[in-house]
Amino acid sequence: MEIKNKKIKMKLVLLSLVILSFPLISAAGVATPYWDENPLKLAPGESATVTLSLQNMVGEEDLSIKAEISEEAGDIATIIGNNQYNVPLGSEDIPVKIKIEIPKNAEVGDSYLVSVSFRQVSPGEGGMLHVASAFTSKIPIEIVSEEESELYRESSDVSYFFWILIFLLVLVIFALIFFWRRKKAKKVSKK
Amino acid sequence: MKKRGINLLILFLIVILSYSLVSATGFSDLWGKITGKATSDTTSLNITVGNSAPTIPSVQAISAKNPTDGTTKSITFAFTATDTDGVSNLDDATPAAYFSKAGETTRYNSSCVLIGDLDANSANYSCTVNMWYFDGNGEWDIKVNVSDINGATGENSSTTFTYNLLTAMAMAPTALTWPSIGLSNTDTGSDNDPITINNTGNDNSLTINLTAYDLQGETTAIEYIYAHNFTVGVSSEGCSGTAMANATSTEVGSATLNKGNYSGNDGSTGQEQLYFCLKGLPQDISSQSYSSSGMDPWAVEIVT
Repeated sequence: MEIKNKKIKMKLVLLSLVILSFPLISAAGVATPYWDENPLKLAPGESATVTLSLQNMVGEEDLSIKAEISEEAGDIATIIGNNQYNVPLGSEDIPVKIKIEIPKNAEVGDSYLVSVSFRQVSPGEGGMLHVASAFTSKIPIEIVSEEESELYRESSDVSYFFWILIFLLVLVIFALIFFWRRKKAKKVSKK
Repeated sequence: MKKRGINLLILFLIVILSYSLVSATGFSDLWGKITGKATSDTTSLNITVGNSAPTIPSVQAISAKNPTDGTTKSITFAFTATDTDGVSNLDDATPAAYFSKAGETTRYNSSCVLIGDLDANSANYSCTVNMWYFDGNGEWDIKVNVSDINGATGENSSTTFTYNLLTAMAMAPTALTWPSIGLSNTDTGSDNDPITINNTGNDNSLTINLTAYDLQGETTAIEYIYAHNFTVGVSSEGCSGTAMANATSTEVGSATLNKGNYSGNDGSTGQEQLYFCLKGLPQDISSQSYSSSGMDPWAVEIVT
């Protein structure tokens, strides 16, 4: 029995206590312009680019963060460019661009939820049980008619200014014609 | 006809001239001198000159703002105040700005500064209001006001701005340790937990998921302490907490992270604490160090 205990003691599992090589705080975050009560509104067949902003203001070191889109949303959402981001300490606006493409056969009233998971990439140093921070940002999408779409508002703003410009142009042309005719009439009457 | 007009003009001039002469020579007091009655006296007069309160016809639009994790976000904007009594009538020490939202603390700055006068009646003021990381996301009302030197106040509450959602965290420590453990030991808590998670954003009621991985032997790499040998909970030692599973995101039961000012460090306001327990060891492993260094780090994930 004593021999067995000795064996067990010999099999003592030493869990490393060395932690000094790790930063004491791990901190990061992501800001989004969309949430449950403020969804992205798109019409069937439309596409848009959503920009999320990575932040690293509270930590102690530069971070490398990997982004992944959940499988359920994979069909309509893709990350533009590389999905690994360097987030220097003190930064608050590292952009993560997500392209959203709504299928043409989507119906008004449908909704989608795009989940983007961010995970701190391990610095790869030794230690016992290293813990990394991770967070998820969700982009709710509501399928609406073209008139209610976010893109429609943008395009209608553009067309509004376009029509004003056209109106002013027509006005100037009429004025020029008027003055030209008047000048011509004066010349004729002098003769 | 022309002659008649000239005559009328001459008559008018004569009347004016006569009245001036009578006044100048003191004949206007003739009635007083005859009757002995006073023809003039002193009296006090109260004249109220009307004061127009200032107005604020325009407030600069504020685009949607992201909170800044763990600290304040300074939001600067300008507004124009007008006083029909003249720009000098505006009291430059009084312009103030308030951001408010139901259920949230109102943020304000009562020391907005004069940028400059725009014209005889209007001036431009600049305000900077600090929003905190834990201030709620959504639409915030903007109110600006200014007083004039007579105390009349004008205000504008017609605009809003959007404060975005920030999902953010800070946690410490980032590596856990255990004392030396024998094969027969059970329910051994980490000796440097809890891991304290601060909510450094304004996302509320977050759940906490933990993705654990088997710890690998550093000498004999084919030996492991399995993820399911660990439990994680919100109270010491975490031994009655949620069992982990290898490479699987597992929600830590009853762990919730609310938004709030975590600087009070009370373990609950804007904070959550996780305790880690090693329930026991596989009985066939050898004495060596085991760590996550050969595997992925465990991930503490806040889920919105």
